[in-house]
Amino acid sequence: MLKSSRLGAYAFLAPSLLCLALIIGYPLVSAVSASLYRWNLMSGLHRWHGIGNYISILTDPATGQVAVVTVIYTVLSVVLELALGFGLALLIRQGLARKLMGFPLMRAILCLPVVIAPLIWAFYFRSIYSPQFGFFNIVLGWLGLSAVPWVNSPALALYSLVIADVWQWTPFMFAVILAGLLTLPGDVTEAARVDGASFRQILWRIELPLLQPVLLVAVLLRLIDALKNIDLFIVITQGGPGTSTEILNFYAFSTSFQDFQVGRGAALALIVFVIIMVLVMLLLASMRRFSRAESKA
Amino acid sequence: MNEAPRLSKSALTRRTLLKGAAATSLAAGGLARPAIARDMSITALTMGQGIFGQPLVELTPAFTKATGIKVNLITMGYNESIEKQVAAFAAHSSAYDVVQIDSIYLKGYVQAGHLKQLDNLVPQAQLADFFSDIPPALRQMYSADGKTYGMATVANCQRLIANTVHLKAAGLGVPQTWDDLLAASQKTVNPGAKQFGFVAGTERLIKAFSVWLPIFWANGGELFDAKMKPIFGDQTGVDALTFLLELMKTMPTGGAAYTEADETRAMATGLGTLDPVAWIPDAIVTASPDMRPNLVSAVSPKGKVCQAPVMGGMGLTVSNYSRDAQAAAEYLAWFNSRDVQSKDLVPHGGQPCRNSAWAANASAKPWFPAVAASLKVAKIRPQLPEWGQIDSAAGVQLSRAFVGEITPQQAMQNAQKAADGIMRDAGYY
Repeated sequence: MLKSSRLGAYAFLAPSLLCLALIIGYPLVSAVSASLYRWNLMSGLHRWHGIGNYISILTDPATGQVAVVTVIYTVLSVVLELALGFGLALLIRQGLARKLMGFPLMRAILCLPVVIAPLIWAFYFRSIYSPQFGFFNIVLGWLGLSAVPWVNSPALALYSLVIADVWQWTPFMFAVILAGLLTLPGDVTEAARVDGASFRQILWRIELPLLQPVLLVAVLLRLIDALKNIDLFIVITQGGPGTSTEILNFYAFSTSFQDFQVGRGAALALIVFVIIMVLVMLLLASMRRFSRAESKA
Repeated sequence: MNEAPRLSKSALTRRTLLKGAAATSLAAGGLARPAIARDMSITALTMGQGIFGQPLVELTPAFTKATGIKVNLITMGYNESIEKQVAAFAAHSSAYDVVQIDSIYLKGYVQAGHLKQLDNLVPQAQLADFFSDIPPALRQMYSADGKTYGMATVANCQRLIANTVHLKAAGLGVPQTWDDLLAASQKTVNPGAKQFGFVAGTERLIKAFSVWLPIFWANGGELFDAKMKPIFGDQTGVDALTFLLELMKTMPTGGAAYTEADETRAMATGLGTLDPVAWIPDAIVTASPDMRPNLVSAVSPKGKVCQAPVMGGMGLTVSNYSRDAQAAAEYLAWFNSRDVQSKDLVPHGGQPCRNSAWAANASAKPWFPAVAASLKVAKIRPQLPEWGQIDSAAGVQLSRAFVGEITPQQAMQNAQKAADGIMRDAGYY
């Protein structure tokens, strides 16, 4: 009986699994296969190279530079989003708790950037960062300051892209952290307050540890997203000026579609995929750990 | 009593048969009548605006009216179009029948088998007439191994755009040599008045290399030796880059990574004075009525050896994976016909490729005389399948030099090394 119901379950799952296998599995296998060849889209060269692409990527000094830029962009974006998101969540929570006017509306407005498609957001910022005619430099002009080459200077371009990313995705952190804060058990914090604990002590010793699962999930999700980000780089800087904004994902894209080296590009894309899968497994493991801890409690 | 004569069974059968045959033949005759509209449809991937895209967008309905072939026109910007066509070709996709391509990619696409040969698709008489009416260079750019794979459609090359008011205020005329241009750029810089000298698109994809190339060629530089080994990292190459970096010091803020849009707007608003490597006339087209008369076009400056604006242009090709190559070829032939080139292309924003069309429209636009003169001296980039990759790889290194990441010597060495790797991989030596 159990066996037949299990078979029945598999039978019902089969169509979905088949779709998933086709949509995810086939491109993945195709990418792995491509990465084992020297494949030039322009000249038509297509010959077996084994793991040669991976060796050349790992021994290329340019890869090191790309990795550094990727780490700086990813870590800086996520840290800033976490800090700003947390700060905003605390502020809005205080306003909601005191039933101050406008805070429910503010909570909704703060989430607006997240609903804009990333590609459109990138086009907004390309215009905003224009060296002569962009909004930021026009405002600087009104204030009597000289124009800043936001995305035209290698010293500033990466940080300008971080600003664009943080502006869009801080609301995500804010929404997740606020939801976590609002669902914290009130009795624990109330008891601490009665015992004379300050706001800082309650936040640091009680609320943050309780929020750990939420924060970890939010950070891992954003790390995965930041690693996958390509819209800002394609639309605004194309990896330049020089190589100052060449992150791993964009490097994979440009290798395939601008340098026409599809095999090497596929290998780079798979490296990004492996890094992301490691983060996904970390995410799943931490969610399992927290859920086990919760059920024990 | 008269009775209607009873018809015999066989007579009935004969009558019925005759009636049926008459009805059938009428119906068949109706079916055989030629259809007014052909039930054909093609998809074309092209630019959407400017000299390359506007005529295609505006004239495609006229093509459909003339031929009955419906066209699904997919338009996008230059960079996006390259990425789209490369992806479609790699997947052997039949998504596009007609693809507008930059001539620098044609040889590569042909070698990889992505383009259909046109000699069998376009009537010989039409092709012969076309070849007799275009500069030989344009035929060379769109053919490989003696076979035709594209039709030039929109001929183009670099030209100089100058702001005569800025120059006159500095007591200067339009510079004729690169040295004069540098001097003029330096003299016309006035950051307080939001006025700068040299302007060019310098972004690393496609732009960077073609800003350096006219200076290099004008001073006698050679890209390859007799064995097709890249030699452009020599002293002439380094000197050209060093000279370009001097010019870039007179650019507006952010000049090291200027897009074509930045370049166009800088000239159109009077921010820049001299753009010697302008590919498109959009600075003049989009300038305000007050600014427009100040902007003139001229042939690119001369170096130690010659004037060497880079030949460009975007032609139409038929994808090898097209479902209706014949209809696609008709699209190409129509846009490159004498009538369309001479009478329709220019009023709809284009630049012709036929000599007769240039003669018929000599003064149609203020920049046409300069472009026509530039086309006579323009140099073609090497007709190699690998050129697109070399352009891209070298562009990255030049971009690094533009922003001071590396020295001109390092940039040219790296660029030459990258090109050497590409040529070696391709089996040239």
